[in-house]
Amino acid sequence: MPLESDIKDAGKTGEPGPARPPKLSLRGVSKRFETRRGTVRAVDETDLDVEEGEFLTIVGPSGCGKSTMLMIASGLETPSAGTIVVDGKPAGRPGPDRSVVFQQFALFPHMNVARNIEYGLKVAGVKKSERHAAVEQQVAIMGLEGFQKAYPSELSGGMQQRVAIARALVLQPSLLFMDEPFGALDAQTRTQMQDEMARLRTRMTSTVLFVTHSVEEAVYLGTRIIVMSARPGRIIANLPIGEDAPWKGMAIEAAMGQPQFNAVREKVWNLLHNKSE
Amino acid sequence: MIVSTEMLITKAGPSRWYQLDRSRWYDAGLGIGSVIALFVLWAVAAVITNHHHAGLVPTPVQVAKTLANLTTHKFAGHTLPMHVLSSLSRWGLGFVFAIVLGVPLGILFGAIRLVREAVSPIFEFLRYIPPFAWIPPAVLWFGSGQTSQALIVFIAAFPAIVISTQVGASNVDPALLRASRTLGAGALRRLGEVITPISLPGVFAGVRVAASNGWMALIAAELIGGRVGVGFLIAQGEDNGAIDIVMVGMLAIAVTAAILDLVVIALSKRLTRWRKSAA
Repeated sequence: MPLESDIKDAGKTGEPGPARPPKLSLRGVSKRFETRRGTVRAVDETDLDVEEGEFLTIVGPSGCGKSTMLMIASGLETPSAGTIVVDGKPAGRPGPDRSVVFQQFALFPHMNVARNIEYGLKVAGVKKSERHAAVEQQVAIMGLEGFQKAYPSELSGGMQQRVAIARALVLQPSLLFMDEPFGALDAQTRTQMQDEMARLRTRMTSTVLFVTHSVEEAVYLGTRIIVMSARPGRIIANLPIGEDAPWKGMAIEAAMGQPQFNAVREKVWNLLHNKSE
Repeated sequence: MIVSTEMLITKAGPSRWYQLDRSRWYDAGLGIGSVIALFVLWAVAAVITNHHHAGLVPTPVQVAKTLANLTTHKFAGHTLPMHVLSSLSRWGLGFVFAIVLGVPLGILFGAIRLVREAVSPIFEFLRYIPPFAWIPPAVLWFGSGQTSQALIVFIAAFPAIVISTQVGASNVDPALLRASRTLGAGALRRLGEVITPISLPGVFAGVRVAASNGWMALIAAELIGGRVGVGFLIAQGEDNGAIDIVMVGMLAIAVTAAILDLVVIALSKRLTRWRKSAA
């Protein structure tokens, strides 16, 4: 089993090839909101590079601007300053190549499960037969068989979030943004979804940015962890975990019994609570 | 569809068929009972007033006989069904125009702040003019026929549709608009495929009010200057001192309005089946 030092370096062990731009780059990104009580600095002068294939988890106290940063990266919000670069080019409007999974699911209430999942493909002009095949495949992956004709209002929170994830993944986005996707779920469903996310990760090609306020979730899912400070949100730590951490491939309950997992968890927790190690 | 019930959230309301049935029968019984009570009260009132002043209030039986007679015999130029159909055709014309123009305008009001800011002052100003006040200018401009009466229906129906649709459209969860943007949908698709269908419950709330507003305004227009229609039938009945004919006309108005309402409700339920508790 690797030692903690191996875990730290694991994220940097890509073979040195020709200089390729990072998949996603945030350059000097700030976000200010004007309120009646003055200017609120949600995100402050943030730089962040995300390499292709990473599963980056972003953890921080509530209100630290981590969701705002994610929304800026997705193109849904415009930064007050700074630029977003995707594959070396300035990113434009939000679109199907930068899919977003929201905490509150945001499923279309008037479309059934199949039509929700299909929507992005329909917008993209994919042929009907191809669309149906892709939807059926995604339905099978997300365990939604038999629910294709159900409306979102007929589903539990966990099932709704499965539909939302399927709706994003069916587009095979090169970037997937997940904004506290399991934050609205009950503890049991949440654990189940965390296990499923880890399983999905192994068959997914997307680069993922995953915002959470759960330290366990961040450590369990991430190949790299970004820790953010309270408002104004700044990145205070960058912890590479890598693909080969000893708990990868385990269920989250089992992972939490791992000493290495707990060492990283404690480290992140101390960073969040401003304690020296 | 194969659905494992434990994975579905239990829907609100009675879960067993007999509970549903019992409450349905109970509600229906109450409604029928109160209608019967109304007819009894009417009969009593007719008998008492006839005792003092004959012919002021016809009994339900007299009205029923007149109804049967008017169904087959012409009065004021047509049989009762033809008067009703004639009114309905003008109502339909004005109503369809109100929907065709009112729903898109309401959606734009609700979805685009700029449109609302620009158009709503004019709209707010005009909607305080009662539909009946439009009858004289409508008759002057278009004569006292089909067109001016349909215009009155339109004026009576239009505001309810616009306002209700606007409320529906402005209540669409902004998260859904963000979701549709990340799925690649442009502004037109967002309007047509997200905002409009999700506004439908609001649209139908307005359509329901508009249907009865338009119907009532039409009858008023026919009373004042018509040649055919239920309102005209009532006006002619009054001129002939035939209170039973007037009451048959009033009944026809109420029954027709109730049927129109049921049609709108049925259509609304069908088109908004996705709602958690279809009202």
